Amino acid sequence: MPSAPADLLKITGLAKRFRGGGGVSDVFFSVPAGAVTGFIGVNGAGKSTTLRCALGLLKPDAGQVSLFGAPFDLTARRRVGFLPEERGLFAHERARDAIGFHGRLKGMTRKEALASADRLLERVGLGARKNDRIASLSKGNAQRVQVLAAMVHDPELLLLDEPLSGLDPIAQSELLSLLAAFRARGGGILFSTHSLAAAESICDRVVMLSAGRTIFEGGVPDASALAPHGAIVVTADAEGLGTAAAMLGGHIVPVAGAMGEVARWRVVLPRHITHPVLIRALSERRVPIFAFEPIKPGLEGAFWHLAQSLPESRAA
Amino acid sequence: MTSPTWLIAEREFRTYVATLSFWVALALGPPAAGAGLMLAQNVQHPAEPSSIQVVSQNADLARDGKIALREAAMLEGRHLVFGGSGPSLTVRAVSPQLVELAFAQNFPLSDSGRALVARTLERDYARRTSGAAPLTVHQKASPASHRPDAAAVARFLSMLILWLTLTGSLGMLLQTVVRERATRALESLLAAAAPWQIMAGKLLGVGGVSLLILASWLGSSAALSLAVPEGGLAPAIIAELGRPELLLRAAVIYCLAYAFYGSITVALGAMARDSASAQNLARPMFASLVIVFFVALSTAMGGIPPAFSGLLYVPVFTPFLLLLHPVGAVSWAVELSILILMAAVSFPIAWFAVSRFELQENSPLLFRSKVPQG
Repeated sequence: MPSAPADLLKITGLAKRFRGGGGVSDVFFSVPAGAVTGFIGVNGAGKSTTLRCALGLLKPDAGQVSLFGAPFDLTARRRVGFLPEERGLFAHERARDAIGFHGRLKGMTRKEALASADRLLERVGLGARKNDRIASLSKGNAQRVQVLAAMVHDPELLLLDEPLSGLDPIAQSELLSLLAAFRARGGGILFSTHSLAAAESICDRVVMLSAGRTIFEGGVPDASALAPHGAIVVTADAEGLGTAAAMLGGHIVPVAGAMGEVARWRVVLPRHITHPVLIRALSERRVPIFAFEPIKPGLEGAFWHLAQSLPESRAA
Repeated sequence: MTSPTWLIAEREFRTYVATLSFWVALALGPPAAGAGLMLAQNVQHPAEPSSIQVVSQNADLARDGKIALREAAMLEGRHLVFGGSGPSLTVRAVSPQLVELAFAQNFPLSDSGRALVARTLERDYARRTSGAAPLTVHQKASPASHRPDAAAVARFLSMLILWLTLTGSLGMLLQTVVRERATRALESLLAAAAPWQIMAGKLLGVGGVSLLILASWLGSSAALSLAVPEGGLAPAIIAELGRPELLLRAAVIYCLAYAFYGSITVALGAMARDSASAQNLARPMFASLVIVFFVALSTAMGGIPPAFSGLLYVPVFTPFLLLLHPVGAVSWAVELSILILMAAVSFPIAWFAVSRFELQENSPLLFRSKVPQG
């Protein structure tokens, strides 16, 4: 892997709007070498649009994309491995040929590409099935083959759009190990996912996207520290819940998912107020509690806190 | 390192070559060529002797006419039987030095054979009456002989082969474009190759498959023609098809026709959401090709009024009608202009097809939802 500047990918002020609505309006982040950067956002946040703009597949309306320290150009794409959200392989192809084809598209000779394909397939435990046709592989194995096709040419940067979707826990774990090995060799990874647990387990940094805008970029510990302290409470007595929270120095925020009169609320409390104190306060005011779930400190709590702090995203 | 265009072409080629239907198409070539050659030979060599009659008020002329007919028939490998109620040759003395021949419409001699009869009559008269004024024999204008002329048949065959090859290739091309959509493989491809490379790769790959089938069919025809007796129509057609100027012109026309119709097909395939919609979108194009075929067929049979000769300049018709014209029938400058016009029309279509391959909002090749996001 040749030496590369610290920031393999840098996106500044990216905007891409679509006629029917949606897209991204202010995206910025960078992907350093030797690190896994999680790209987090709900469906429709603009993750795939950003990745497509980063690779020049979509032309942005505004903003800059810098790949390997230089303005975007098509030849730089050869140094990138890409797993798109819309992915698939030709069913009739053999696993090693499908991977090898992508290697050759990225400039490898046939011999190099097939050798690399065989090596990667061995590594994920599919060596014995390298000559099987894609149609005969399970969905998870076919997806692993697709991920390997993105890595076959030993890229410096991997852009992976939801690489874990459709994989069982064992396959997810194997893939995460593969990514960890890639990082250890100095490669940079941008890894979009819905799975905040997976992001927490492998990512060094995270970029959070909400309603087409970057709402956070930084280390995982920094992001986790932004998670509020409190709980998700399901109740029909919003007034009583609000009064109890206010008495303890906190406040309540509605959470999507109301069921008739029963609604979900996020209770945000000062850090020194423990959950038993909140439960006692609710009990004293005879507030009916249908469910009580402490907010775990971590990316999930931080993400929801940050996303719902944005006026636009709240409206959305 | 190989260009993405060639890699994509290779993959498309291998995809089709790996199917059973390809080998069936390939295997059909030799038997079909054999059957065609046998039919062509039968046109030249009827199974039964042809019964004909010579009609003349002058017994000498009738005798000379029979002698001349025997000579011409022998050269054409025919067996004529005089008498009975077959098609007639009427020999009439218009003046002492002028004789008129009138062949019945279905008289079993080619145009050149009929001309030979006239020349033989003139020669024999000159031999008999040395020093006298020469005799002039002319043919009364009659409907063209039903016997096909090898050159015209060869031109028609080259048009037919183009039509068959093209319709087959366009079907394959449509499927290759839609397959990217069905397997959701396009975005991976676009991350490694430019849209024009993908389009060119598909055109070349499918074109290679068609070329292989075409070569197999033509090759087996040429090989089988060596086995049929000389002097018949089949070897004459093969010889015509093998003329370098005809081959070169046909190759140029084939390439332009494939680029023109191929670009339209790729654009239609790229606009489709699935296989069914691709077929619906392509229906008008295939219907046009059927119309084009019948127009070309009518032209070959002389059934198109001169007022429609302008169709030659309409790109949809150009390749087919041009192939039906004998080399040199249209001046080279006009022919070149027509071909340049067709190439010029193909460029914007190809550009449009490439633009359909680029990712854009609502691109049916890529996005399932209306707005690509998330």
